[in-house]
This record gives sequence, C-alpha cells and structure tokens, in this order.
Amino acid sequence: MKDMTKASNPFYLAFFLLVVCGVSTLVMAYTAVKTEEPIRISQAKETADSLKLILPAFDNDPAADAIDLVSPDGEPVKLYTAKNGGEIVGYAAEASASGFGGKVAGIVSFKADGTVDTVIVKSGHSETPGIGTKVTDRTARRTITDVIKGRKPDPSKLPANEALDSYSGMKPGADKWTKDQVHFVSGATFSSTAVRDLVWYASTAVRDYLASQAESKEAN
Amino acid sequence: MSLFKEFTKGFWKENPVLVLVLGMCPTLATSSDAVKGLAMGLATTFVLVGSNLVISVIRKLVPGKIRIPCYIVVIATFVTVVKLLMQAYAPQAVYQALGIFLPLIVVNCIVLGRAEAFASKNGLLASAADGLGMGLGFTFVLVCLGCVREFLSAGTLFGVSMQCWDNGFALMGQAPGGFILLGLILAGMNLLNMHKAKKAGLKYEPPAEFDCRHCSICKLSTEEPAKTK
Repeated sequence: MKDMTKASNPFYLAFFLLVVCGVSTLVMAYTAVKTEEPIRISQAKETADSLKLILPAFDNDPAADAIDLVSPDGEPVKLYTAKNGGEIVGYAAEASASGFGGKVAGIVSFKADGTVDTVIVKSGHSETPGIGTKVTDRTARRTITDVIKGRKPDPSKLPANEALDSYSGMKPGADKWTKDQVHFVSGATFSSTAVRDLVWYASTAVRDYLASQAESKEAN
Repeated sequence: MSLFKEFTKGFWKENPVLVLVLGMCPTLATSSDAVKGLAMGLATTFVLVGSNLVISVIRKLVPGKIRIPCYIVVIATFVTVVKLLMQAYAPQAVYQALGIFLPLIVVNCIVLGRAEAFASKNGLLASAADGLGMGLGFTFVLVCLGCVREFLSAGTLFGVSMQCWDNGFALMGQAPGGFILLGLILAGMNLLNMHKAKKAGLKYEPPAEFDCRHCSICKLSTEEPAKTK
C-alpha cells in the first residue's frame, strides 16, 4: 500500500488551503466593512468640492438629488441641480470619454440658457504628465518660491486652463465642436478630444433635458 | 546576518529594482511622477512587511506542496486590505492614478520573491526587517525615478514648479522614457561597483543568484532525455 503522509494527503492539503482561504476571507471582509463608510465619504467629497467651485452658492445636496441621463450619443451623464431656497440656481453634469491613458471624467456647469460655464476634469485620470495634463489639469501650480515664502494657493479660486476655459459660452450645435472652435493642445490630441467629447456629451444631455423640462412646463 | 544588515541590504546591495531587477512593470508605470511613485512604494512596503510576517509565522505549518498558493492567498489578503485603506483614506487622485497597478501588487515578483526566498526560511524579526528594507528600497527607487521623470517632463517636483525647466521632455513622462532612464541608472550602478572592485584589486561580477545563471531551465531543455528500456 502506498505510504501517505499527512503532508502529501490531498484531503489534508485541500483542508489546509481551505482554512487559509477562510481566514483570509474573514480579514478582507472585516476590512471591507470597516472602510465602507470612509470610502463613500471620500468618493463623494471630490464631486462635492468640484460642485462648490463651479456652481453658484446652493443650500441643497446636488449629489443626493442627482439624475441619470443619457446623451444623444448614448453616453451616461449625471445631472446635478443646485438649489438655493428651493429655487434652481444652476446645473452641472458629469460625463466621461476615452483619453490617451484611459477614461477622463469631468464636471461641466451650465448657465440658465444651457451654455457651458465652467469645465473641471476630475483627478485620477492617466493622461501624460506635461502633455495631456495641459488639457486636463486646473491645479494651482505652486512654485518653489511660493513654498519658500510660505504662500498657499487660494482653494476657493479656480486656476485657469486655456483648453478648459475655451468651452465657456459654447452651446451644442448639430456637430461636435472642432479645433477651430475650442482649444486643442498641440501634441495632446487624444486628451483634447476626450475633453471635447465629455463636454459635448454633458452639454447635449443637458440641452435635451432642459428642452423636455420646458415642454412639460408648457403642457401644464 | 544582523537585523540591521537584513534591513539595509534592500537599499543598495540587493535593491529589488536596481540589483534584482524585479517589479519592472509597476516601476515603469508608476514612476512618472514622484507622488505616484511614493504612494506605490509605500503600498508595496505595507504588503511586503505584512506578508513576510505572516508567512514567517506559518512557515512551519504550511505543507511544501501547497506553499505557493498559500503565500499568494496571504499576499492577496494584504493587497486587498491596502487597496481598501487607500480608497478610504488616501487622496482620491493618488488612489485612482495608481489604478490597476495597486491590485497587481499581488503578482509583483518582489513580494512573492521575498516570501519564497526569505520569509519561508527565516524568523519573524528578520523577515520583517527584510520586508521593510526591500519595500523602502523599492520606494526609494520609485521616488528617485519619479522625481527625475517628473522634472524632465513637467518641470515640477512633487507638483511644485521648480521655475528652471519648462521644456516638457515628453518622453520621460511615458514608460519608454522610464525604461531608458532606468537603463542609465543600472549602467551607472554597475560602473560604480566595477570601480569599487577595481580599487580593491578585484573583478566585479554580479552574484550568480541575481541573474539567470542560477536557473536550470535552459540546461534542462538542452539535455537529452533519459533513455528508457
């Protein structure tokens, strides 16, 4: 009869592996439960901070009242409505498009007539530093002199970005905006196209939403 | 070897990137700027120390035949924990920028390499010192590479403009630039070691266990199969 020690018994090996997996699952489950709330808060914080920067003063929670829309191109768009004293004071829409290093997500605020006001690209994209980031980032660039002199950037002021600022006042027409109409950064075509697309998805979705709201108001 | 030596070997003598040339994928992908490199390095250090500790504790209990799956499960647990902790407490920008490379620490050769080569054969303290040293050595290289690449591609260090370089050397912001820079650093390191050896009247040669000479796969494939009756 074949000698079967404990270390080569397949049932023992399977049982041992099962115990290791069981303990591992417990550790992971405990961590997942403990971090569930902090993760939710952390994810909501960036959107809330961006909305505060690009919308007029509001007293509601736009993220809680967000509506899911679909742009005419079939892309998902999230609409945030800012209210002050029950009155609508502004809209913002979140959309995403493919850039050079993957998904680029952004939030676009709109004026009452549906024209684009401000565009912010959310952090966490993987566009090339120094090239793609010229299109996407609005970071208040601190210089070494600022650090030495202890000057800190004002968090309430939105730093300028030529590419993103070129969308202010734009309204969606029949076709997507071209590089003659908005600013495309030379050498960063993928990132520029991604930003153009996400603003296009957001603005066309908001245009259709506002039109449907106006129609239903007229019908009433 | 003393605990201090176990700790310090990861910085230079057995640096996981510069000497062992392990973990190339996360090294090239996450060293495009200093902050990303620092975050990746610290996350890997946490996993290295945690997995080395646990594997050192269970090393006598784990049957040899299933040791690799057991080590992978332990490493995957620590990676999941660090991923959840970073998602909850690290800045969203840093967490999202690391992207897929954070869960991919599970298959990072440095982590499994230290588990198999060191923690499974050594005690608790030595394994912790080895994990910490290797992790910090990895972090050190990522931050150094990140600083050079970030400076050359964007003229900044940790996001702060240095006001002296604004030429946008775009290649350095991408993986091929990282590869070229790493090659130059490796060449510089070999030159330094050769110079040191020459001074001492010796000939520099990297230890056999650090390259493919210790592996027998090539030899096996060229050997004639044993004749059977």
